[in-house]
Amino acid sequence: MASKPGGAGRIKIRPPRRGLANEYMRFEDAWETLSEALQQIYARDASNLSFEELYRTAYKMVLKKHGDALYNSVNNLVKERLRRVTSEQLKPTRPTFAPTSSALERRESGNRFLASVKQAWEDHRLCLGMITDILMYLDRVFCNDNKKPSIQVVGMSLFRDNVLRNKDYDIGADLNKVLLEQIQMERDGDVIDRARIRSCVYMLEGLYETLDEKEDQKVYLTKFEGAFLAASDDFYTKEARKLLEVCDAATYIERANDRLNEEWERTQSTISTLTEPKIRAIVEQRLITENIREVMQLEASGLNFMLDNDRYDQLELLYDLARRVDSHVNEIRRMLKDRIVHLGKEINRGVYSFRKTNAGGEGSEGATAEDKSVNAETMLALKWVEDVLALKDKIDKIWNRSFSSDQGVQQTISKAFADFINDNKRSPEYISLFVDENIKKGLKGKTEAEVDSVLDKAIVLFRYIQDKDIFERYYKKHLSKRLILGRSVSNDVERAMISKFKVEVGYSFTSKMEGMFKDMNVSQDLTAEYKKHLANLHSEEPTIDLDIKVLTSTFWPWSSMSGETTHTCIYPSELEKVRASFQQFYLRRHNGRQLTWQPQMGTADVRATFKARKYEINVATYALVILLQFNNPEVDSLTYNDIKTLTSIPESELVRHLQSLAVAPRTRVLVKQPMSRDVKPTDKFSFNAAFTSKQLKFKIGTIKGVGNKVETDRERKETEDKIDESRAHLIEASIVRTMKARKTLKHSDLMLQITDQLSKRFMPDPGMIKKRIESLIEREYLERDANDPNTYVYLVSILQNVFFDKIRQRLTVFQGLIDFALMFGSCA
Amino acid sequence: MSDEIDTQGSLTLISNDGFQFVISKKIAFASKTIRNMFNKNSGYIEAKENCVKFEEMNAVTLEKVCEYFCYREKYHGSKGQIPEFNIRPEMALELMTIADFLET
Repeated sequence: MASKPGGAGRIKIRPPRRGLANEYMRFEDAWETLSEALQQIYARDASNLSFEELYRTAYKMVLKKHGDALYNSVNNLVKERLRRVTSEQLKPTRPTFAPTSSALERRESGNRFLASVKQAWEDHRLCLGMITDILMYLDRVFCNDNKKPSIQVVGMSLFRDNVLRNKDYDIGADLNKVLLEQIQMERDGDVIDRARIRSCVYMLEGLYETLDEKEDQKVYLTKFEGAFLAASDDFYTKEARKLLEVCDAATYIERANDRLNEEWERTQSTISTLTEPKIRAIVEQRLITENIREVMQLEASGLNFMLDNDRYDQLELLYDLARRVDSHVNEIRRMLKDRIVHLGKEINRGVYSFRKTNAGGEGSEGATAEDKSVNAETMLALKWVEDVLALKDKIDKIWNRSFSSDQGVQQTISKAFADFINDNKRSPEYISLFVDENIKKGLKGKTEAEVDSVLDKAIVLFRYIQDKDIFERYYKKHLSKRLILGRSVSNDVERAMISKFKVEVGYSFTSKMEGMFKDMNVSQDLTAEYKKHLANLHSEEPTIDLDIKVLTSTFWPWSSMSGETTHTCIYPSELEKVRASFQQFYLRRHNGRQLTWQPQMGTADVRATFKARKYEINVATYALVILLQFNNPEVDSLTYNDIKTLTSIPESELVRHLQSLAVAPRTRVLVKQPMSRDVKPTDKFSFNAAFTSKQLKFKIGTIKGVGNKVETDRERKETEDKIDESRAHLIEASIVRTMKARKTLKHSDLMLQITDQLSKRFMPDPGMIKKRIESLIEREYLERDANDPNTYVYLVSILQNVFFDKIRQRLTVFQGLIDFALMFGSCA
Repeated sequence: MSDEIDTQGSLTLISNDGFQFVISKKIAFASKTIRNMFNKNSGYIEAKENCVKFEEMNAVTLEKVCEYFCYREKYHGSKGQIPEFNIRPEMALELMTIADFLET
């Protein structure tokens, strides 16, 4: 292109032929010069050729309109040359492919053939390059103007047609065969000359099917790649079968990984990178997709084995492989889930089998046997939680190290844990017990971080629980005992735990627990004020130091704690005085409230004088009431019935306390006649003045009821009923709320809405929802659509009804505010 | 195509009346034709002897060609004001032919 700076731009200007026009030129003469030069170029001896002269000759030929002739002549010359090369150089090296030849022979002959093909190709390319240089003017002017393919392109296609597809010798087919054979050798572990193969592949890549040289028309793609892929497919199908037969899972995945790397390397070093995705797909399909499930299911070495034995590296490899073919690794997830659920059910089974063996003995051996089994089961509950946590730890570690913290896998893990944890109906109770145990004992002397990690573990399990309302019930129950009996290691820990719950499920879940804390604080202040009040009265006999807890009835899980509905007793005069004094004090401060005393929750410190010495004893309030009956010199012995009439303590409680006072071996402050474990109405009790103990201060525990333990079946039944009841309320509230907003709704939609709203707290049972809907229809909150029985209509006229309902609710709440109080005596 | 062309050093251009112009390779390679002559793989006599004899050019023309090479080197790719390259009218046609020949 002639472009002069400052000129009018890129205008193509044909040179004037003034100087050349008068110079006559014969095509034959000029061609002779050129063809001789070309021969010399092919002989690799260009050092005597002047480029300038050759170029000028071609230049002039084009100018003299000999372009067409020159173009054809050159092409013919190249074609002749290539044919000769094929028959003289390539033909003799063609491999025989005789089936009798040994691998070594085949390799050698293949190598020779490849070498000569490579040589022919390189020669051709070099010479063609030089010819193109000389004939540049021809390309530029003649080919351009006449829309003919350039010398270079034609030269390449000539190579294709006259060498690879020579009509006498099928060099191309031979080449394919040899290449595939060599690759197969490498797959079998032989060493081959990669560079040589690569240059032949380059050649195929440099050749095109058509003259316009489209990328997808490379001879490599049209002729070689298909054959290569087919051969590979065949090979890997067999390979997978072979590996499955002889290897365990670990070896299989290692081999598969090696093969993948090997094929990748092959595309980088031996054949074209264009093939990389295709060959990868084949290997992945044959070695992974089709067989990974079978490999993972291998009995002695599959996924389960790896999980059980913490084979992080193998799992990681397995994960990487599976990820190649399925970004969600569904296969692994399915098996992982099955395994976790299986392991989880093993843990559950431990609990079940224990329960079964104990179920038979219950009842016949009486209360103590039940107590024992409850104790053991509490241990079992803790063990269950610890086992689950250990499993979780283990799986988490694997998840972290081997599954590169895959989110999808985590979901699967959570799902699996939720499955088996919810499969155990007692898990909410167990988890609450675990927290209870830790807060009471386990966390002593631990750092804040350690405490936090234990709490977090509990939260992790809590998250899996579907029926959060059941957990709430148990947790409240356990918490209330801890608070009242002062068993918590620290309030901070309790509060930390509750704030964690709050983060998880929101305010409504924890409001009552927080109310419980508030009550505790208020009670402390109250006790202090009461003491001040007493001091102001200058009463002469402040013999009893009263520590009172006033609890708001709605916050505290009363019924589930006491079992019986009423707890009363006739207080001995010493206690009654204090009780009355406090009640007066309290009611003066809070007019209109009602105090209900709960003696069964209290404890008392008593200093008692025996023959040997004085002891300080911590007993339950009921026990104190019993003991005070003997605090009279006139009283020598009392029968069970006497005590019952004097104190009117509920029978079950009375028996328990008498047992702990007179039967328990180390704390026998009462003597029972006759000596036996069971307490009968005719038994006689008397003060054991000869009592001795190693410790000055000791505690008489009540059998059962102080610590938090697993519920007995009876208690459990009660809890379940309570929960059903509260769920029924929640469901009804939810239905009314929804219907009020929507007015009409189809049955299925309503079910969906309700389930969705409540699933945060528990998984509502469809049957239960249906029952609630029926009940609401009965009470005329809803009615069925006259035209479509599957549709419910919210009754507007019922607005009033709801209004009254609300007022009724208010009233109950108000009643709830009328407080209960507990009594704790401290008798000096 | 493997283009092993050394752009280091200089080469000699000779006119048909015997004048020699020594010019840096890098500058002279503005002409594709000259560039191809020095492809080492091909091994033409020009590459061997490091000089080109132009049978079609006299010294005056060749000098102007070299002048253009330098002019091009100096202003190629520069953004500011580019001074005009002066060509005497009587030389214009011949230079155009030469430009076509040298592909520059």
